[in-house]
Amino acid sequence: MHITQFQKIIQRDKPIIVEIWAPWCAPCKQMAPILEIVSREYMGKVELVKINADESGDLLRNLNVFSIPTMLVYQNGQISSRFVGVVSAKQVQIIFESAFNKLIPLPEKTGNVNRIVSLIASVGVFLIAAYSGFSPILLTASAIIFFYAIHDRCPIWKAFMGWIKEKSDTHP
Amino acid sequence: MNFTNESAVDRVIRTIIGLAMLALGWGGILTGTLGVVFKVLGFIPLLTGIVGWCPLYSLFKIQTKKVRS
Repeated sequence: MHITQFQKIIQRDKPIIVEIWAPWCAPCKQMAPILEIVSREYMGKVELVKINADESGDLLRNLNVFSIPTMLVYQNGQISSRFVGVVSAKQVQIIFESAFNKLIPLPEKTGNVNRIVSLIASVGVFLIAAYSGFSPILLTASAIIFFYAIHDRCPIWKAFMGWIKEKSDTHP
Repeated sequence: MNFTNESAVDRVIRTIIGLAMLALGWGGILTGTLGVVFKVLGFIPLLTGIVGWCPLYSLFKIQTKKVRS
């Protein structure tokens, strides 16, 4: 999809949920039937737009999407929320319901704020640890904060969380 | 899922305050009881800044984050 085409789509009156996927992405395949069912439920109220990551490289760079699956929620042409990684059936339902009721909190780029704040904190704590003679408490804190900053890009973590979500969906 | 109640500015300020407190405590600038207090309490603004959720805000039902009504 081209950027101009995408800009036109997100200007529509209805809330738009953009799903970025790829044919080779296993978590995307896992989410596809869930999205299909929920989007049918909200037909006419919330619009689901699926973008193939392999065919829309420029658009993805423009949207700062670096990992898939990613879900973006747009209200009146503005991004209101971003979900990176596998999203459970229950969460998909909540995302659609929130988008329909225009309840998803602003501002946009929450993921970026999270990452920047966490990375600054991680580096800061590491520097303090270095200055104070490499205190194990501070080094551990720094490592935990660093992992928190990048956990959504860790494939092992994603697979683990996907497995947990799958289990919690099948045994509510 | 999206449980944060702090704005981006709020989070950055908390992180900076937390780091400053930890630097004063762990860096040995403050010593004695005050140093220990800063060493421990510095983690509170740091963590609330990183996570974006403040328990006190939740308790008093306030938030600095803008919400679309």
